[in-house]
Amino acid sequence: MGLRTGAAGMALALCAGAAVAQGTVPPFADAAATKQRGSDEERAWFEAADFDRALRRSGALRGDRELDAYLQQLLDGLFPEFQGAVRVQAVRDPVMNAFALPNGSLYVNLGLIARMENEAQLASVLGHEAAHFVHRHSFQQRTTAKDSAGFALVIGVVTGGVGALVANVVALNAIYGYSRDFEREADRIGFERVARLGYDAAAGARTFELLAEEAKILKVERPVFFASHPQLEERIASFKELAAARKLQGGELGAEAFLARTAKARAEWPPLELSRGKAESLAHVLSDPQRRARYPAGDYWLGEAYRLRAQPDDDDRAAGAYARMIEREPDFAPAYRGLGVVRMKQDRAEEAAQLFKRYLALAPQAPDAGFIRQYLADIEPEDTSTGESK
Amino acid sequence: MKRLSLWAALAAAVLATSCAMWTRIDSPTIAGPSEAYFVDAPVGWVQLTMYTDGIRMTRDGFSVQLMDVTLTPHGKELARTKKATSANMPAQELAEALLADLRGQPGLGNLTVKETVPARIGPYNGFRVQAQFRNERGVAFSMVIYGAALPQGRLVLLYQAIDRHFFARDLPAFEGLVKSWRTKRAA
Repeated sequence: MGLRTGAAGMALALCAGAAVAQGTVPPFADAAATKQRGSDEERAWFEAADFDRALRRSGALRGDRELDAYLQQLLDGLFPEFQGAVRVQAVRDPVMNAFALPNGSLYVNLGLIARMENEAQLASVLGHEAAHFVHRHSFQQRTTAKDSAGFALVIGVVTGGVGALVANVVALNAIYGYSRDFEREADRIGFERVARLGYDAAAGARTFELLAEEAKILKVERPVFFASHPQLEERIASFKELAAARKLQGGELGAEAFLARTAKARAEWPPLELSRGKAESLAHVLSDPQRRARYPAGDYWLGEAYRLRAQPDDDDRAAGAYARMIEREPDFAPAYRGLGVVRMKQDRAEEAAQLFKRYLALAPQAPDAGFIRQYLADIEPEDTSTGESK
Repeated sequence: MKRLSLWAALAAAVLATSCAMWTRIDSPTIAGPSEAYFVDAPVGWVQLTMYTDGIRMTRDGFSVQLMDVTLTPHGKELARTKKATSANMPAQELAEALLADLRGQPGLGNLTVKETVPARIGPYNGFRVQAQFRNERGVAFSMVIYGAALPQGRLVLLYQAIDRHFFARDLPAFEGLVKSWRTKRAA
């Protein structure tokens, strides 16, 4: 908390300085122009490349060529004159976040991709991040505050996972992102690029609405994506104003292509979210039937989220979700395991035993089969030869 | 004069505290806090005596390897995820909760689980997890965690070491420590 307070104070000081410096460095015109850099900017690029390497070494990059190619294709469409100079990759991190480095490396977390509803929203995120690079925001902010110890290269807010890595390299921007003016400029540039390609003009606002909604439910004081400047509500309004000013309504969503090309990310996200103890956010996303329908085995993962969230009545909610999954796919083994665990915790031993046996029949080689046999031995002690019990 | 003696007392206290931070393990049996449990630790290792939550020891330094034993009341939430545990928590669920909490720790976001299997700790059903991670310098570590939900709290026995050379060398000592876990002094 002390660190946060200190960082907030520092961030405020940086913002004030950044506002003064804004506009003093011209944006890059195209990919060729990015090669002409002064020594200060060169240093920023060097440090960014160092962070790129650290990210690769950490194993955080998802390494899904198809997904990375899709992201790159979208990005190149938005900024065709920067092809080859801006690169984007997916990061194996469940947090809803994206960030850019001053050397043109963009990273988009799996948690963000999996939560998006269509290509227009994803393009809005990429447009915003690339705008930070093209307008050299990181360099400008760094120049303004180069005397401040630990000034950050990375924009956006990263917590946990990659965040731990970032925190060692870059302290402040990693937590608080860019100045309010830079964020607004990135919104505007990104919006124009997205609109130029005919994408839905409301996509930018909807992206922030998704985040704001989740932040409110989870009582997150400082939501992590496109963090604190301006506050989320203000930024939703800003996107709506941009659309109204251009008299834009509707547009291409690109939902079908998006769903097809990001299917693996959506399949991978729920277990990743749970592996970080984020049952609450997963339950929030999947409790909406429309959103749940986009996730493979959505009912099962909702059941898992409720079971692990363990709030009052969550066992019943979990049981309902598992039952829906079993009804839809009677041979989906993990749903029997999940429902069995719920029934075991509810002291409905006989029912639990039936469900565990069904699970083992469907998935005898499951990695957790040993646990299920142990549970069976606990709830049916007369069937065991060891006589051991907890 | 009075001021001088106060400084001397303070210095003595600091010295006494620092002297008491570490102790070489000369006889194997070590008691947990309030003698709630006992383990046989590897002789020659060093115990961090100022660690009051449980038993923590190393042979070559905590950045190389460590063993850690804790028994934490269920009411005390996990540090990162703020989740509580309970006495009737199934072993696999407890493992998932502890791993999620570990992944929230700085530098452990990339923790990869290699295997999770049922295990016994004394008379209790629990789990054994083997996992790996790389620190910020890219050094590979391996980790083994045993855990069980006891009536009085969650029991966790953890061993981690640099993968190369150290992990395999000291793993048998840790497995011996786990086997020795008991609630009474005599083995």
